[in-house]
Amino acid sequence: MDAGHTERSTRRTPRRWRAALVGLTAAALVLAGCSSDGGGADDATSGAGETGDASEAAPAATDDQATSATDDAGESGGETVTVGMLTTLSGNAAYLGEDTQKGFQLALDLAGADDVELVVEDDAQDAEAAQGLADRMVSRDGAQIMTGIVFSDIANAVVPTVLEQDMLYLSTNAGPSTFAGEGCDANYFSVSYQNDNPAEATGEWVKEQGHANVVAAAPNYQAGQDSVNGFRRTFGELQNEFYTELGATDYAQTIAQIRDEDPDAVYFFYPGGMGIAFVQQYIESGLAEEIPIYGPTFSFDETLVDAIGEAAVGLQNGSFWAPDLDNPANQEFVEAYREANGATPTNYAAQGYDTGRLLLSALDTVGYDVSDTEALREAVAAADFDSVRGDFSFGTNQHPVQDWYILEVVAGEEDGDYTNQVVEKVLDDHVDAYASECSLGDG
Amino acid sequence: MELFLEQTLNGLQAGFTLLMISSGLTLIFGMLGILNLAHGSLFMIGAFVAADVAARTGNFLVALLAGVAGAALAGILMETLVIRFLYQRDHLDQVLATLGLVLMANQGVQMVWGIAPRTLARPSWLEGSVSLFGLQYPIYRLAIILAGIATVVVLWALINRTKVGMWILAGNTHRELLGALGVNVTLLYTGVFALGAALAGFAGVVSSPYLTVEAGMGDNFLILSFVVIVIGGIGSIKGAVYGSLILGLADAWGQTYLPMLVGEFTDPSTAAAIGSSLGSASIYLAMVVVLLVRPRGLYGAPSG
Amino acid sequence: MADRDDTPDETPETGREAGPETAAPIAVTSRLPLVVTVAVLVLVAAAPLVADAVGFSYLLGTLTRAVILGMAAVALDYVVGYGGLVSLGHAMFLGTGAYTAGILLFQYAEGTGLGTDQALVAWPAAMLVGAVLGWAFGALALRTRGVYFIMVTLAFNQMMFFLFNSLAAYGGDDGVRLSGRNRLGPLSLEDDLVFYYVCVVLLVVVLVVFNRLVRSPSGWLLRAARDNEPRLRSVGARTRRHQLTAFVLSASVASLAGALAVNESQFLSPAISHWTQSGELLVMVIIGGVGSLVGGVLGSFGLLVLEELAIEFTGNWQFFVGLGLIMIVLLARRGLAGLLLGRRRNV
Repeated sequence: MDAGHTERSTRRTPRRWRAALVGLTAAALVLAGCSSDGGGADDATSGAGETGDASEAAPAATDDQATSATDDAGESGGETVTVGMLTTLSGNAAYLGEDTQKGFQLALDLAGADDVELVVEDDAQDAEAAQGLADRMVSRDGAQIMTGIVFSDIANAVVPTVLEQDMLYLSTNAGPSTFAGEGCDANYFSVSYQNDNPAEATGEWVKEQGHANVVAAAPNYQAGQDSVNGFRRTFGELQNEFYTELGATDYAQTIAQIRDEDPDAVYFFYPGGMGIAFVQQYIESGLAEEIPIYGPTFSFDETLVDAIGEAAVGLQNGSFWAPDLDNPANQEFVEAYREANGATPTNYAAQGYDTGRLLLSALDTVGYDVSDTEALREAVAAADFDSVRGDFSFGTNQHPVQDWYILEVVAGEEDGDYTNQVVEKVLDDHVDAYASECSLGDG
Repeated sequence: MELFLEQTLNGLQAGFTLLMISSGLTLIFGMLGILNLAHGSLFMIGAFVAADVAARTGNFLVALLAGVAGAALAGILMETLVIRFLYQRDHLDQVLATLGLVLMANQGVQMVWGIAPRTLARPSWLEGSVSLFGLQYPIYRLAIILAGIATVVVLWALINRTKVGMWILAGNTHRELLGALGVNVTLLYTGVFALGAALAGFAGVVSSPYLTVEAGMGDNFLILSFVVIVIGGIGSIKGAVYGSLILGLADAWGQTYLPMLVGEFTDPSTAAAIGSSLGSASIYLAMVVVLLVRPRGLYGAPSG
Repeated sequence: MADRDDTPDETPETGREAGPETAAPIAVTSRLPLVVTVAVLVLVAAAPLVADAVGFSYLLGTLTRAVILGMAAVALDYVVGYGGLVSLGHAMFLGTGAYTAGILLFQYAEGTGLGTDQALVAWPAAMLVGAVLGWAFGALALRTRGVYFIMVTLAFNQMMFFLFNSLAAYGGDDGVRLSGRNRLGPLSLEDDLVFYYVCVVLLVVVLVVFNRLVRSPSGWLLRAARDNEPRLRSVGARTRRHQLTAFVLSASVASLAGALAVNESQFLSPAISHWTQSGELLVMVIIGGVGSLVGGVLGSFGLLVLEELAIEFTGNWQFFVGLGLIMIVLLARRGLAGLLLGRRRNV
């Protein structure tokens, strides 16, 4: 940081680079809004960028968006409806958002819904950035209905700002208790589940299997503790609980403690990559032959079981859906999805698909006029569509009332391909534990 | 007793893994004077290359070699394209430029290998477990401990028994001498950086069976390595060895016994959560204690 | 560079030894005329109006974040640029301030425990807690210098991050949504534009305070210690004390920024204290120009704009932000402030 050294580095820098940087700086200041004459150029750049983002949905949408951004949603009727999908498309959980988007898109494509325009943004799993993006999607891109958030923390941050603007939010995945109990909202619909449900289904099953002494393992954070609580709600008291550092993927220590406890069964909640690591290490430790493990569906989606490989076969997990679930809507979906994307759909794709279909059914009812929020709300609440889950309706808190199943991982048709198969239905028309705290149904 | 033995072995295994990363980091710092935040990225690159090669060939040893070579190659690229221009710079510049490398590497592996998490299976000949004083312990974890011991021996021999080692030692203290001795300093630096990168890549590959191969997988190891070399003393390989093992064991024992200790006072659910947080904090507490007693670490050069 | 004389085991670079003793940042600062600072602030103040006029009103949230993070960057610049103490842990103070103000607000809304929605209580409380933590961590970290200091502050940052993550009552790692913003007398902070200008006013106050500090004897000693600590110690100056004062002040202001940030987003989450956020603050300091104070503001606007641009043009924005960062370090060593003054310097 001494002068001599600064001089040297300055001299080494080629002149044109400095010119370029000065240009960049100027551009930066312009875009930051520090100069009034940059407006025209800005419009062009943001428009171009947007087309790239939303290309799958609307190849040449720039003009439409510019207009829909300037006029308010008020006067539309039988016009194009803009749906904002804010989801996770980067980072190690990116496939969750991609599958959600593919499922949703498939629903639009199959219905030939030209008058729904999908604007997609990546929340990068950053709650703060996501808020800014949501604002932008509403005020600039003219999104009239929002959907797509994968993670509960992002949903907690973004959804209230959407609801405040009297817009509908349809959750494709995240189902935090925030919006299920006292905090339920007329404009909020969960088309997936309430976060505790998969754990409750698994708890019921483990109880039915006659296991008395069970220990639980989960990452040390809210969703981990919620999941263990959900399990306890249907199973009963646990022998012990182990919490590991969030994101840590070496479970040798927890496995040593489980060995020391010598329980009848283990319940674990390790979503995403953590699940791959836990299952592999558990099997390696030799414990798997003596003590069975059970988990919620989050650790067993089709992408993850492929990654775990052969070792996953036979593991049981609680879910509301499986690719082989026997109903016509599901068969049609799985077939069309395989054809379009060359892979077996995950539950995230199924959730995205159901959300798309639900929305289309509601838009049909209101004749694509979303200006009357209340009419739209009623149309969504009616849930007048064929869900890939078979039975589907909304409870008083506008979360799903649906059946829960135990799935088992099996080898797929091709080598190295694994998938889930239904073993048994464990919970029938299950309502989440928070619904009674919600006052929506009272009025 | 069985639990204690198992946790001790787990602590050693974690410690030796950490050692492979932190010894490279400390070597690079001691020799080149570079604080490399992208060291965790080299760990990650090694893992990704190995996972890719293993998926193609099905051979763990080939994948291991490819991973180490890939990390070394990435290290050479980093050194020649970016790091080399930072030798004259202060630590602030080094932090920022290598942070830039971290961002590029994290996104870069996703651009090359896609966004879905990957795995690397342990080789079939290291599967299963062996009985050790009545405890069933995974063979693969024992193999990591042995690989760690081998790493220490090889590094020790390299530094104390070869000409290159002599240069490295000399370079640590009297850099100008190297030029006078007719050593090609540029090449030596690149070589040392590649060696550190290869070690990180090696650690990345061997720990992949316990991890998910994904972007950012090296970040936590990087920060732990920092704690190791703060404890051990920057630039000291010996310090890195002791620091790694202390950290590995402190973490393993802390995670086990602190929740038990807290459990004496509260209900199990709260105790598990609090104890786990305390366990995570135990390594940082270890660092604070060392700092209070020896601000330059266990084997750092004395303050001037 | 502060570590050079203090740390014999760290790379005695011939290049570094050769430079004259007067350090560039001092030169930059004295050359950075008041008019530049004022100009930057005028632009900052005009930004939302201009953004609104050209139909970019959705950028207001981004601009507010830029002002708030700019404030933290100014605070960080004081210890980095003038103290030569590279802290890679300032996000923990953002987190401290956010959690102090956020918890008070949350408990006030819930009616449980200690709580308040008054900005005049919550914000100073955030600064106080930040100062206390800054003192504790600073006293420990300042036992080290240079690269040790970087790593120790990073480790503390990680420790605090895990602590915030474990606060299950406040949402753990998911964080928790707050029902509104603090109340500040007759001002309606719920109005985004009002809140923006409150942040700008506080930023001006912070800039004035640090500008005066730089010119104070304590600030002079801080800079002198950066350039040659042993020499100062040998004449009896208690350098560590001034460094600790600077660190505590910086931590305190960063905590204020954290309290403002949680008001802006109305969402309390540990993400604000992640170590990469510390890195991002440092990036802002260097983009803006080390040791220029107002450069922190330039840097934060610059970085947020860079991210905004990268998101627009490519899904792989992190890659290009990283590339840009390396370019800036290698090619534009003196940051935006330096570029603005570049021509001056050559005359």
